This record gives sequence, structure tokens and C-alpha cells, in this order.
Amino acid sequence: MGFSAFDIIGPAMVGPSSSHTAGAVRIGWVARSLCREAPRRVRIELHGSFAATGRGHATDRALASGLLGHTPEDERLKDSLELAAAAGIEVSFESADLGEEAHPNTARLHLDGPDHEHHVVTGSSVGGGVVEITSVDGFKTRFGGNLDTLVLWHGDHPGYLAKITGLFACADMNIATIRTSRRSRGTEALTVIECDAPPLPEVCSLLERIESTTALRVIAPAR
Amino acid sequence: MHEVLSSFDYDTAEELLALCAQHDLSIADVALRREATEQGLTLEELLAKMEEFYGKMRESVAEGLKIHGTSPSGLSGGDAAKLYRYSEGERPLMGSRFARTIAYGFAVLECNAQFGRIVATPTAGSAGIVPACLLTLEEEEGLTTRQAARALFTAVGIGVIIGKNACFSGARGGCQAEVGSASCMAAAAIVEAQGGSPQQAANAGSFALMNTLGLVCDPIGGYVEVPCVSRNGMFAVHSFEAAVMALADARCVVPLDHVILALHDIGRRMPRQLKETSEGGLATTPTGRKYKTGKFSPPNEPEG
Repeated sequence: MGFSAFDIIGPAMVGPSSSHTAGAVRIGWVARSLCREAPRRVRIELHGSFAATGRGHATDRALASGLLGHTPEDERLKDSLELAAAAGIEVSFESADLGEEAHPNTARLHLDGPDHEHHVVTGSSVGGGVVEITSVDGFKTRFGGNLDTLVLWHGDHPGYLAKITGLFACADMNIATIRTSRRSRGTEALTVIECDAPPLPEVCSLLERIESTTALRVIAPAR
Repeated sequence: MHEVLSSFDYDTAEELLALCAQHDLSIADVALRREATEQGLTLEELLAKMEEFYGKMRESVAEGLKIHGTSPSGLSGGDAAKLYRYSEGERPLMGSRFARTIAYGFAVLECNAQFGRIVATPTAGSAGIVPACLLTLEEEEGLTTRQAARALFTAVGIGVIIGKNACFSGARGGCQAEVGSASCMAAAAIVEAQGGSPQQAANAGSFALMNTLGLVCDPIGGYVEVPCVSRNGMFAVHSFEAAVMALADARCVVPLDHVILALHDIGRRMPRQLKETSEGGLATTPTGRKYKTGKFSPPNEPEG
């Protein structure tokens, strides 16, 4: 389907740019949601138009605002760099060339949290505030963060998908999309599931108990 | 057994018009039903939610009209108020409503430039066009809030086709993808709000979009202000022109789907210097160069 009515009319947001500001907030929000605790240090690479006109569009403040868990409509955006510093999150920005294939509005975030937690998240803002997360920790993926989303890091073991979809079926939870990618056969894999409703906590705790699961995060839509 | 819901989804204007004809529905009705299926919400819930967004659009116009100071860049601010005052003067050129529509387009973008709240329609840089048109209809034609919400669903119905077959991103498609799309959506919305047929609404979209093709995104200093603020005022009026052409049944040679193909084609061929990088056009004129673009530097290089 793609393109909900409120992707086209909306988001309600703080200016000045839907792609460079609101979309950037959403990328920051997803990156924050992938961390267990608030990150301590975030290094952000900006590619293409994000690098060229990001300051005028407050892309830096927008990414920081998302990292603080603020929505695109949150008026604290204009003070977000100061708020992040006050919250003990060190955020730095640099321009980078992420290659010909990368969408012109792309950011790659390197997040360091407590207990050696580390994530690398790449996201593109494709217009009108709609975003696409294209890579998490080196795994190719594709999700928008506009639906309730479950992210599972796990071993690439036989029957894993059957187990998780079985739990979804038992809980009568519908799966909108599901995508698995792996480093190589039998090694580590990442599965991203977009749901039509927030996943039940009971299901999440059962998913975590599957032996192959190494980590699980839930991303709520940023609105 | 789970019931399989009938889909009101479509990829092209041709398919959309076929759905309208098949079910005897307007574009707004089809867009509403498509959304209801996808979101699991009732038509009433969707219309109420859209009314909320229309309320936020109205607020952004009101906020913009109050602005007197300039934006942080110094490039905009206070002109929406000037235009509004002019519209209320003794003999405003082309009548009061003409200047007022322009003022509303300015107001939203001025609000946007000052970190105010707006509704991206479909983007922030083009957020003034649809609200300016609907607010004008509210004042001049007695459009109710409910009718405005329905008109916004007409805009959605058309926007879906552009989103699927081209894009809304200035960085990928130039200003034509933002302001062109907004004007296309607004023109169709005006036509349905005025009782026009789905075909007339699609024609209005064609007229609006085919006359915005080629528009580049070359904002001064990388700020969404020059030319964006005046462009939103100007293309709000442009949307009314396209609606008038369609309502008069002027010959619409190129169907909307083909105009959207052209939008996509031109967007691909447009040089990157003219796609939201501020490396060409107005941004690199002697005037444009006076405003720093605020690029981010590569690592280990001093900030430029």
C-alpha cells in the first residue's frame, strides 16, 4: 500500500523542512529506540543534501531531538543540542560520502551506550517526513518507523522464524511486514517485524526467551 | 475465518478514476475508504482526525500573520502581515481575496521558518499552498470544517499517486516535486469542494502540475525561505487557476498519470546542484552567496 493519508497530509511538525527536519527527528527517534538505554555518545555522518543544507534546515537539532525521544511536533527542537548536552549525550556531526546508491538525504548514526552497547543505524528521509531505515548494525533492512516495530537480533538457526510467527499467531497479532537478513549462513541475523498494533509485552518476553534471540527492541511510531 | 477486506488501493490516476466510476464515489470518498481499510478506522474517525489537522493548518496561518520580526537567517518575516494589510486596503489589485490567498501562503512558510508548528502538505517547504486554498474557500464559499476535511482527502487521493510514481522530495525531484505536488493536490481539492467530478479534479491536477514542471530547488543559504515563502503564496493562486480551467472543461490533453511520469523524468535529469544543495541557481547568485549555507564539514576539517 505505502503512503497513508497522514504521510501526505502531515506530519504536524516544527519547521523548517519535512525531509531535513521532521524526517531527521524520526531517524533520531528510531536510533534511540534501538538502544537499551540512552546513548552516551552519538557520531552522526551526514550525506548529500543533509550535509549540504543541513544547518539551514536544523537537521542537526532535529536528529538530536529524536535522540532525546521527542516527536517532530515537539517545540523543544530549537534547544535540542543544549538539552542533549545537559542530558549527558555527546552528539557530533560530520559530512560523509555514503556512495552513489545512498538517497541524498541520508544519515548514519554511530551510537555508544553504557555497558559497551554499540549500534550503527543508517536512515534516509525520502520526502514529506517519511523515512526509511536501510541498515542496522551492518544488516540490510527496510522499515519506516511509522508502524509499531519489533527488532530482533538472533542466531540464523532453523525454525527461528516459525517460533516467532507462532507466538504472533497465538496472540492473534497481525504482522504487516517481516524481513530477515543475515551476515552469512548460520551466523548472526536481524529480523524486523512491522505490526498493526503495539506488540503485547507478554509476547515480547516470550520472544526474548527463545534461545537464539540475543536482543529485542520495540520501536513505537514517533507521533 | 477472517474476512478479506475489499481494497480501495490504486497506483495510478486511471485506476483511481475507475474506482470512482465503479463505486460511484468521489476521489475523497475513495481515499477515505482506502485509509479506513488500511488503518482499521471508521470514516468518521478519519474525518475527525483530518479536521484536527485542518485546525493545525489554520493555526499556522494565524501564527504566520502575527509575525513581525525576521527569521534567524534574516531572509523572511513580516511579509504575510503586509500582504494581509494590503488586502484590506481601499483598492487591492484583483480584489481583496486575491491578496489574502497570497498572504495565507506566505503566513504558513513564515511560521515554518521561525521553528513554528505547521502541517507538512505534502512537505514543509510546500505547506502553505493547500491551507491557503482551503481557507480562501472557507471565507469566500462558506466551506465548512467537515468539507475542508473531505477536500483534504481529495488532496490525499491525488498525493498517493504522486508518491507512488514520483516523489515529494526536493533533494530528489526539485521544487516541482514539492510545490508542484502541493499545487496539483490543492487544485483537485478545490474542484471537488466546488462539486466538480473526479475527472475534472484529475484534470485540475494535470493543469497545475504540468505548469510547475521543471521548477528547481535552489534556496538561498539552504534556508526554506527564498524563494519558498513567496512561491507558496504564488502557487496557491496557481492552484485556483488550474481549478478554473478544469471546472470550465478546458481541453486537458495530457492525463495526470503522464504528467506525473514527466515529473519523475525531469526530477531524475535535474542536476544535483539544483536539488536542495544550494550549489546553483538563486543560491549561488551574488545575493545568494551573501548567506552562508552552513555546510557540515568532513571529519578533521575546520568548520566552513
